[in-house]
Amino acid sequence: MLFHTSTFFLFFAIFIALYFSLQRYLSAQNLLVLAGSYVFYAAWDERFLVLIMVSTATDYIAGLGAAGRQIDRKTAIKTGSLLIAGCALALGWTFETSWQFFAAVVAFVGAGSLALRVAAPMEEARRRKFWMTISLIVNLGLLGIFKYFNFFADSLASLASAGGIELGWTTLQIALPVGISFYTFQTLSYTIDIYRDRMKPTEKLMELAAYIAFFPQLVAGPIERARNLLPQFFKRREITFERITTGMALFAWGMYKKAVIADNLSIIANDAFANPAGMSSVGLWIGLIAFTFQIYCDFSGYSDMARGVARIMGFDLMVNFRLPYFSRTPSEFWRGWHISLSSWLRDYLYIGLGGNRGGSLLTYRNLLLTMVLGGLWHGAAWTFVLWGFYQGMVLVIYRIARVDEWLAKPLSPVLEYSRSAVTMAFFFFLTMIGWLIFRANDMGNLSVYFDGLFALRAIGDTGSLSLLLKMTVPLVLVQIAQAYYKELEFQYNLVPFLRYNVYLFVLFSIVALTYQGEVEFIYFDF
Amino acid sequence: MILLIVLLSPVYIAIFGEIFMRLFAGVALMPRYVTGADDGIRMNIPNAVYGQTSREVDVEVRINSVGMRADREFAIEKPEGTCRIAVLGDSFFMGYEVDIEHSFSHLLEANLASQNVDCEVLNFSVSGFGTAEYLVALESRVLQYSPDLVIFELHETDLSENVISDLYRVEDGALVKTGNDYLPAIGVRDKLMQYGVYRWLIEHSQLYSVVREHAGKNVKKILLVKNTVKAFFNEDSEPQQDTPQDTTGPVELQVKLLEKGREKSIQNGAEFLLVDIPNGFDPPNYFSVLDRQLKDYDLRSQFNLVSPLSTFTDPANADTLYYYKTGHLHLSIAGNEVVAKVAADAIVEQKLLDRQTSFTSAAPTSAATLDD
Repeated sequence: MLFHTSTFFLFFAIFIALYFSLQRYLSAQNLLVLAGSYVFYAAWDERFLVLIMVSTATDYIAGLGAAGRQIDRKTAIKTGSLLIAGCALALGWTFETSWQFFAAVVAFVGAGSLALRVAAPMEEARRRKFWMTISLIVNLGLLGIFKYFNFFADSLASLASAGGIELGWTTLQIALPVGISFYTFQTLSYTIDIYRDRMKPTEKLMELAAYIAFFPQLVAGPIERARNLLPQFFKRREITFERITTGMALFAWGMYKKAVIADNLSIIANDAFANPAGMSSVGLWIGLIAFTFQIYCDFSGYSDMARGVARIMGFDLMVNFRLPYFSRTPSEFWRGWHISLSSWLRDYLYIGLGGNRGGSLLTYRNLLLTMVLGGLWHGAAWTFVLWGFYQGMVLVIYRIARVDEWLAKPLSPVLEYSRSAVTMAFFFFLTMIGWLIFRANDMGNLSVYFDGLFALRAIGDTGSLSLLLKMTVPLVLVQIAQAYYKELEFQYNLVPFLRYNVYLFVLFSIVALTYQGEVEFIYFDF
Repeated sequence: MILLIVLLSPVYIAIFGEIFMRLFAGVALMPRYVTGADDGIRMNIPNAVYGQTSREVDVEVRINSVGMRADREFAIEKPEGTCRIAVLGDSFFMGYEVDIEHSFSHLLEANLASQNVDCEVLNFSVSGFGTAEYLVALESRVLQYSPDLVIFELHETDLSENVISDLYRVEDGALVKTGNDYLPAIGVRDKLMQYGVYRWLIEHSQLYSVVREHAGKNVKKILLVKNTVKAFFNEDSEPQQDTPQDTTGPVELQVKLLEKGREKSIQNGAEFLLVDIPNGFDPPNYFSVLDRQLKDYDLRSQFNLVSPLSTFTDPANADTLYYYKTGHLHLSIAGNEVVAKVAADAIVEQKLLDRQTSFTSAAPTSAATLDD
């Protein structure tokens, strides 16, 4: 169920009517959020709801355990029973073909009860660590099986084959569950934060389940920290005319970025990446610029829509993108691009590895490792690993060159603007090269495309330039205004007449320029 | 002041929208001049003359006195020795986005003439029709003209159109006429068409065109859901023995409608031909409904059937534009030429006009001569 489809509008119209009618009953409203989120996810594949339920049940128990609490029998039975009942409900329609899922869940509950017995006699510090480790094993295990198993199995088989050894691997015939990278990271952060004494666990399973499955951000983020989102389930949400209208405006802006800009630019990018050997260098540059804006609009558009939907419901989600293409250095870029992931990687991986506490060399190693694993988070392919390594190298080189420190030194206004313009343009170029690695179909495709960019082949394939300009110029103008007002929702600073004309422009663009084909969100694959 | 703003806002929004569409969208203007007919389905408004424009085309559509896209009239009583082919389709066969000289029916006539087969081609197509409407039109409008061959268009959209129109259903494995009419928004349209301002709008306003297209699509979606749900609760829970296991309602309905169309045609002394129009939304990735939703039925072996798909997908023709890109994605002139050619070749090779020898003239007759 994509946000910008009539199916979602129908779903949300029914949902929000019920939601508003339950405004006085917080628990009932939370239950509705949970049910709505599960319905929303089941629209893709109800079988994979089981994974969300498993992740939820695990981190509910692990969260309590990581806080040092003993898990009593009643809590354990309640959690196990609800997990089995929930799975039976989700799989009931397709039980004949998906009974293995159900059997695995029953076995999982059995393993859980064993873990409870093992943990019970442990001293508190060990028990806390034990439960955090369980959370890591289960969540990363789900990711490993459903996202990375085939990639590593195939890679190992290829490596062995090159060495003359034939491995009889049978890859798993499983689809990638939508949004698995997002919700597993979200649940992990919950338990890790408890273990680090940054928050207290909740004893309310329903609210925790609703937080993990919260449909506006379930399948493509932002990866919300429990510290921000979970408390919002325990207080009555404010629903005002202003929140509804500003939420709708945010949703419309996100939809414009996704359905109008990103989807139309996908035509140019797809053509270029499909046959880079047959295109001129100019055509390849146009294709790469198109993809650079496509991925930004695709992902930030989704985040805006998610925030808009949540705001209408009275929730506040974090800002996930903050003008990343106006960055002058990689550290600025990562403070503006997919902020919820980059801050997650910083807090739970980079700092966990030692951060910058062990001297320069260890810092560089930690940066590289963090970015490589961050690259792998995006997808199980060597191009993503290479992209992560490239981003890590860029970070390291900028750090060695102390560019951030140089940029912090004040200059006269004219020199300051010139310096910013040059560093911004250069870093934008580096970002585009990064997206080339990211988007390439495989390593061969990457090599051909890269050669073509700098081969100075005959000028041609410029037919899509007008579409590229038509799609990107309004976006760039808006972003300049956002930078000028230092506010993403800058339109409220405009005089009403101008503001409403901006709204009309966005709305008519959505009505008339929306790409008519089906293009899923790029980040759904992650 | 507030009252003034409220009153003027719609006017301002309309002007803003129209300017926006012209500057940024370049929306195609494809007005539909249709009205209701006594047989409960739509027909082209008799004697209508209107334009269709997009960034690629600027054509005029002329309708004759009985609602066919034609520059001439045809006597109901077929003159002795005359060969007649009846064409039933939607906007593809009606020749949207091309002049009549480049429409399928006209080119078919010319192609047959070039192979010494003199035959009148009567175009009964109406934009938006599905197979269910072809069948209704066949009985109520076409057979009285005594055609020697009936051609049905086959397109992916037929499957949903048949469900939406709810003119026929499959009950206990048999095709049943529901007795319903299907005249979507015709009452409103007929009333509005009385006003010159409205007729001007549908031919000149890009904003109106966009709004109408969106409204039409969404109404169809709602009807599709409604009729699918209705069919789900009506259908027999026991699967039919003679249908594939993965049969779905729309597919089975489509096949039954085609079988009925063939049966009716043959009963009335006419041969029956299906002409496949591939999906051209994403060139060059053309595909046919025969290889997707209808693949389990192997219609190619059950019907006289032709498809231009192999020509469209031939790598040698990769640069040929078979569908327009900026209007409503109809067949281009080249696309119509290919479809007409494969249909004419099939008619001659398969001897579908069983009395065709008597229609064969000594010398080739040009299309221009036929128009005279």
